[in-house]
Amino acid sequence: MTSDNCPLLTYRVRVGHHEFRVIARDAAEAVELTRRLLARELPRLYDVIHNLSKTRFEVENAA
Amino acid sequence: MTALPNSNLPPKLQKMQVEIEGYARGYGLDFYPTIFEHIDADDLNAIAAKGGFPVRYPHWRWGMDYERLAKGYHHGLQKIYEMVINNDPCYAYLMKSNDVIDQKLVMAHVYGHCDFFKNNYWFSKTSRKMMDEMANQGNRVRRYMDEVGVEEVEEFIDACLSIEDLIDVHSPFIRRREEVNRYDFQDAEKRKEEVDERNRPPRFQSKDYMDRFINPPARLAAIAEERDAARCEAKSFPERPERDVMLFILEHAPLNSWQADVLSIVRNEAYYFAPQAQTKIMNEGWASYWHSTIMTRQGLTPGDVINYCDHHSGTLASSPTQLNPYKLGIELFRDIEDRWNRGAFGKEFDECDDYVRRRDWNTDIGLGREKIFEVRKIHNDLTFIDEFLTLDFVREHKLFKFGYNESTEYYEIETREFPRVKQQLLASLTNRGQPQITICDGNYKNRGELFLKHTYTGVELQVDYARDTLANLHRLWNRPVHLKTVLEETEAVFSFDGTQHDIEKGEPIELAEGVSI
Repeated sequence: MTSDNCPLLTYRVRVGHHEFRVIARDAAEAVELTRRLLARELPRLYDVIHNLSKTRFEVENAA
Repeated sequence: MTALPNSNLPPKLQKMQVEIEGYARGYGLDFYPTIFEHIDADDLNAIAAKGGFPVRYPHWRWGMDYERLAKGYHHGLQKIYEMVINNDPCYAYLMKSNDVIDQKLVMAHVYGHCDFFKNNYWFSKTSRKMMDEMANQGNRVRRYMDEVGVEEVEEFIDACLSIEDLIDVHSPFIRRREEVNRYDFQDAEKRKEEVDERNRPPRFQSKDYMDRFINPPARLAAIAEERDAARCEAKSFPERPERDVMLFILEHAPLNSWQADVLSIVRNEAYYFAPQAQTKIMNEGWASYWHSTIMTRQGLTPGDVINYCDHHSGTLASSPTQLNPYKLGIELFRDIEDRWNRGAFGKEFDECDDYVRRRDWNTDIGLGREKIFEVRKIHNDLTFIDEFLTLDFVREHKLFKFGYNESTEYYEIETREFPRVKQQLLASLTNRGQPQITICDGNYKNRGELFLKHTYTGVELQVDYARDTLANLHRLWNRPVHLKTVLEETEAVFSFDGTQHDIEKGEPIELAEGVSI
């Protein structure tokens, strides 16, 4: 659950060898955004990426 | 999920089969039990020469095909990796000389085919016991050979095979005419009464004493006469042009019982194999999609990667002059999956003209896998290409139409225009790439001659093939045969009367819009 009043933060999210910088309200949203970016990058693994557990995403605050 | 007991797989491959079958079922593939036979190249070539069926009617053509395959194999020109038969249970053949990684790849590929056979609508009317049927048909033909002689039966089979493409591939799905049981005599009388009732002139309702004024007998008799005359005039033979030439010959040619049976065997096989020709791109694409998915996600060990990539890329290699059905099929399935995963379909998407927006379109609805399963269920190659070959796809895969340039004496790219590329592809798939020929008259000139018509779509018939086919048709029909077609932009009628060929040229034709020569 996110609130509209939450400030936007930059996160660095790692999944295996891939790393993304995303701007999100919190870590959960950063994971979801990363899923979408990763799925666009690897369209053949769409189903695998959307079934990855959250623990496979290493989220760090990049700010 | 264990290997079937009658399989001759060594234990290592049996274990591998169980593993790959598990992966395939895990992805939702649904297939009949599959029996893998482990055989050497010689046996595989012999079975492949007979279309995958170990026991079939005897014919010289199998020997010829075997020689071609065996020579190709021994000279290192070609090798059959895999063969799978649409049957319940499915039969698949693995070549003994293949590497272990190849066997794994082939198994994954085979399960893709087996799923397609079981679930694609165009295969739904094919016999699932064809292995047994072919063996039984083989016995019948052998018996006829014993009775009337090998040469006579083989020559007759040759004549039948030359018209095996002249079938109506849609007839299993469409009721073209009333099915009538010729031995049901009670029904026949009832039907006659119904027809008489239908043909009776219409009468106004009236009291008895007024009837001869309201429905004057002379007028009713005149109407009945007019109807009889119209009926006689309209009745042609066949009533409508018949696309199933084999069926027409079977029902109306003067064949004796063994000939009719042999023709029905060849026709039965033609209908069995027709969906495979109708779905080549989809079927190979679907199987390649699944072997690629299973192998890259679960099947491969690090040591296998190079060999796998080598063989997978060999299967999907594109040639500038030939369309590879494996490549086109797998890429289209991947494209559909990707588009339906990101919601890139529907009215809003189709109306979007902005290239960047279309490229980055993503509603993330994730319907890709569901969609490709739906596509494999209902489409054949023609509808598949028509529906899913898009401008973006043609651009991305750099498809083009090529032709022979007589001035430079080279094959050259004619165009990269999307509509023309798509049109060319669709034209090559329509009627499985075969000419459309129908029987228009079985009593031509009231002399019992056969008149056929070739529907001209821009490609002329090959004259030597047309003549040989007419000669074979004459052998079956036993009366002169005629074929109306277009030759050098002029209407022409080929005829064969049993001794000599004849061509009668008519008027120059006017091409329909969109038809080019």
